[in-house]
Amino acid sequence: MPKNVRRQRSRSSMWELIEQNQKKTITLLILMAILMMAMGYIVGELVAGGAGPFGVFIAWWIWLIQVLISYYFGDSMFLRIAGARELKSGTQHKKLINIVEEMKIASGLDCMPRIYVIDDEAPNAFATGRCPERASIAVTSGLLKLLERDELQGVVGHEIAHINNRDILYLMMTTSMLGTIVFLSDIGSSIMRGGSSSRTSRRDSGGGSAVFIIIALVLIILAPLVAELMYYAISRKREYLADACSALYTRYPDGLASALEKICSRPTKIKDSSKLTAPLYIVHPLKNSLDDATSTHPATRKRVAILRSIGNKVGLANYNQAYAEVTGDTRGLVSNALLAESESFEVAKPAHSDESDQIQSVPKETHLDRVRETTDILWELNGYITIPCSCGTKLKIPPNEGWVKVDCPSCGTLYDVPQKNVA
Amino acid sequence: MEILLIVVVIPLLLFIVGIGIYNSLVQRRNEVKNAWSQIDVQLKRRYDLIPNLVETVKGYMTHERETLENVIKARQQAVNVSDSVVDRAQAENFLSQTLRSLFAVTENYPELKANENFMALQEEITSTENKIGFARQYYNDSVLHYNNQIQMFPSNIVAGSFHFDPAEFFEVEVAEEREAPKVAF
Repeated sequence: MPKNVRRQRSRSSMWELIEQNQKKTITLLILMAILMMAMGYIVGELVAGGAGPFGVFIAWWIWLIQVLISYYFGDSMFLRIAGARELKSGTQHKKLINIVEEMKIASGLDCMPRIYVIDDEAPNAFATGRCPERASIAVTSGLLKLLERDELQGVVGHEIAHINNRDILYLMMTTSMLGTIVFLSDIGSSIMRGGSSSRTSRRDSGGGSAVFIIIALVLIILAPLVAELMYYAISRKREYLADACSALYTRYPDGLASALEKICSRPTKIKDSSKLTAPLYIVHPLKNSLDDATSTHPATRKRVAILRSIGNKVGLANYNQAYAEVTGDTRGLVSNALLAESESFEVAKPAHSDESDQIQSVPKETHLDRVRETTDILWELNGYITIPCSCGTKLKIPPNEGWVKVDCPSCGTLYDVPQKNVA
Repeated sequence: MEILLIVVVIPLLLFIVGIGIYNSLVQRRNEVKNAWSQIDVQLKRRYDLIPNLVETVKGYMTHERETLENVIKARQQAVNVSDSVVDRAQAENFLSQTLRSLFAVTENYPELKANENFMALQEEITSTENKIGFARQYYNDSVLHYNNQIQMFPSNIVAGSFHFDPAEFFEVEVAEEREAPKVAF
């Protein structure tokens, strides 16, 4: 379908967002795959002339093994490393279970994710699971204590967004590609540094080999760096999009925003977390409030700013605008085609389960006001004369002292004392 | 020979694309039905919770008979209402209002508020209200998704030929909902 077909103005839905997201990530993944195949080819050629294609073949196998391992053992591994306890349905943590169910409904997820609680004071949360049908969400006890209902809902929404968008699967595949590229680059560089006897016996055309060596060298040095940057870029974009999805599910971006602020005001290091498991958490467990470009998570400040600047409207267009304003990235996060269709939704009012909003709250008097009121009454009862001064002070003159004029102790203005007429 | 290819291959391709569109329409229509039944699940859960709530509260709030009766009546109405989306939406909105009034009134009864049963029930009902809201939201989103495909080209051709009718949004706004409920002391 041609890209510039004028579509009817209709609101976008979550599925279009997901589709778009997956398309973008696939593009980046394809680029990484090409890089990986190039590395495979180079290493193949370095090992034995003409073995380039075989090198590509081997590269895919190395990748596949990593993917399979993380696919089948990833969840249980991460959960065990983090020391998570599964929550059986029951009365404990009913609120958490309810919130997860609410987000499951709002996001259209088919099955309830399994819920885990990690006994740790550091507030954090993560989601894992190779497909939406076998998803798990883990939350620390510290997080449960720290957050209000709306904030917890925002965090859970963010995690469920990861599940819905299959972010875990993509990150798994991306990490495996990165691993393979680094691995191949290591092999390549040790071959080039090491013995040249195998190379001199190669059967290749004289002119090609010099160019090839140069290209190989460049790629061996650069590929790991480029791949790493690509991986971080994908991870960060996914985080922003999970934030946006959470806002769409809850229709209340301020919830997630204040949750992020609260979380980052405390240390988030969880025992046994490591660089491996870092990308899965909502906030990087080892580095709090980052500003790094070489990081799996965007700076929390930026995330909060984007969420809060959505203001009264929640929708892709507003999120995109907020993103552009805060990060200065005018291309935004969401494609123009998707924006053209999307409309804004009104932000919902927070649902406080603890207090009712309908009763008018009495304006809080300060303690000082009440003290002043009381003492004023006492002065009057005792016959003192009160003169309010223009600077705010109230002058109190004792009765029967014969004062005619008085000056304000604060500003010095002179006043006439009203004389009581003796009846 | 090329002409034969064109005469056979292109219609074949169109047919395959048509099948794809038809299946997608079926999927989305079923998603709408599924989303609607999700709302039902939450609404039924609320019906079941309410008698419990009334029982727990009755002992403490002996002077609030009217509020309690409103809730009971609204619940009865909602259970018996017709199947049209519009009628149901109205009845359910009304029930939500009466529940809100009830919870507002419970602010005056600190003993009731401290009662564990009541606290659990309050969390359950609040959560159910949230879930109803989210289920509605999701239903509306799936209606949107489905209606989009029915109306957009080229799937509207397939939709028209096979009588895929547009679905209704669950968007009834009752005038009373806009006002804050008045609490009588």
